[in-house]
Amino acid sequence: MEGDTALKDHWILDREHSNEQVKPHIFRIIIDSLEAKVDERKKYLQNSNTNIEFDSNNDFLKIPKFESFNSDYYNNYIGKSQNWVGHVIEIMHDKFTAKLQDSNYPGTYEIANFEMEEISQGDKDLLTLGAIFYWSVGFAYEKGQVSKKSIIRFKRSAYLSENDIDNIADRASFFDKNINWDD
Amino acid sequence: MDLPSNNILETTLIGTGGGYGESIVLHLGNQNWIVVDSCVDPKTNNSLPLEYLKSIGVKVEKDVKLIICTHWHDDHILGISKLFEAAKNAVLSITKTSDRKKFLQLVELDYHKVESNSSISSTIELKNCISIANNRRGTIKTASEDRVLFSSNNSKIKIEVISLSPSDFVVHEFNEEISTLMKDFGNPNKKIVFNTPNDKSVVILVKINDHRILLGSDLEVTDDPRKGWLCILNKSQCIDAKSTIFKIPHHGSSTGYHKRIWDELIAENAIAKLTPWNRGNKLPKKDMLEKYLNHTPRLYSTSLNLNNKSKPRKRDRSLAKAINKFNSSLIEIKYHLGIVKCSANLNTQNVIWKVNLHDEAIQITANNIQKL
Repeated sequence: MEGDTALKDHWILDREHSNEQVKPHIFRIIIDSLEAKVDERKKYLQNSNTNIEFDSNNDFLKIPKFESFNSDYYNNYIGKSQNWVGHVIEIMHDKFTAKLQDSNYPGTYEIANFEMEEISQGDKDLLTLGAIFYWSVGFAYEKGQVSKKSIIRFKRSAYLSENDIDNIADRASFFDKNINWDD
Repeated sequence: MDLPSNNILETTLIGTGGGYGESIVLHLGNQNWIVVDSCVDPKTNNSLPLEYLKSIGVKVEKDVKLIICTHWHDDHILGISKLFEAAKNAVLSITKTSDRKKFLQLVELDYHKVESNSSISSTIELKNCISIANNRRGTIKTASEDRVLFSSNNSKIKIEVISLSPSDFVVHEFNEEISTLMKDFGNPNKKIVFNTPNDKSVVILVKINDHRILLGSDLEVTDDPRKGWLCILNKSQCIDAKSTIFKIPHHGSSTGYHKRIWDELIAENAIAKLTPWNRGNKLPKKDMLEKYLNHTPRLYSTSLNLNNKSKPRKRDRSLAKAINKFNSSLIEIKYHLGIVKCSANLNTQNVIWKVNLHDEAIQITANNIQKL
């Protein structure tokens, strides 16, 4: 579905904690054990009586370093999660009400109230009537620990281009002229 | 449910519990069918009036003559484009706007957001209907005060379907609202939220020989006599007799009630029917039902929320617990299908309405009001 594809990018829990990212964590363990064996071999050669010239800078003895490898990041992933697309239908002093459509299983919709303090500072300006947001609740696995997480992120969009507006006006004029309007 | 014979007049109110809309299907004799508004089953997204018509064997393509969209709120318009597509012989009727091009721009603007999932269902439905009308070079008839939308006159059955609202003042006022909606909700990160009273709603009066049926849509009573029910009560030139069937406006809310409506437009012991509203401020309220019962004992609802315990949707247990930890206010808007069907013989002098209830439809009595 077109809508699903467009929405998937916005699931912050999915993006930051994907099950796909468990794999690099296993690679890290393999690399660590290889490095330990190489270090052991280096020490043995340095301490041996045999006349072998050993250059500790020799590249072939080095295990490549993964500088950009952020192990904390890859230790984290989400297990079960529930995602909704919501839009604000009422704003009160310290909370707002939203209509929510379940993204996992569309069908009947839900309604919920949210406290203002649940909204990140950067999203507060986006909280207006009709504003669309994404809400995810799930189990996060962080460094082997399980915790429940709830994340709300408001949608950001570019304004319409001049070309878009021209097309909209053209289509409106087309239907105005071509349909038989009986007033 | 069977196909009615040509001499049977039928009005069928379909309700969904409030969240997914309401629709009225009318058989005006001689296989002349009209449909007022549309609603859907949220699981299938199928248009319920279309399913109903097919289920009783109506030749939808040929025999549905008019489809009226009383106003473009989600609970009145969902599924209307599927219905219009199937009813190839039907004329579509929507609320009149004084600046049609601007209204079409609003529809196009909101429809433009469809790829970013920000369009509202109402504009998608309207846009689809407009495209269908354009493709079949069909007619869209606008509804306003005291306007005949459909008429037929053969030797035995004289029919007139008349819109009693919106008033000219409201049509003019709507123009400004369109500009505001475009300004406030044009951005693709927003969905349109309607916050104005239901004064654009189209109230329908059906005249069939001596029978009168009044369909109140969601029209409300305001202090301003230029709009709402007061305008109809003070100005309409088309009301010549009291109605024996009344679709109570706006889910039986206090804002849809005025004593004059019942005294001046509704016959004694008329059949009154309504659909409930299950979202937020739930309707109808107990005190209003008591008020309606004082006007007529023949009061029906497509469902009645006797169990007030609202819950979220059923989910995996551990997820449900996590959701409840973060937000205990989450509730599902349940789907409650109910059908109130009234039929009468057009060949008889006295109007005798027979009522049939299906699915969750219920007759409202003093006893079940107490359980609310």
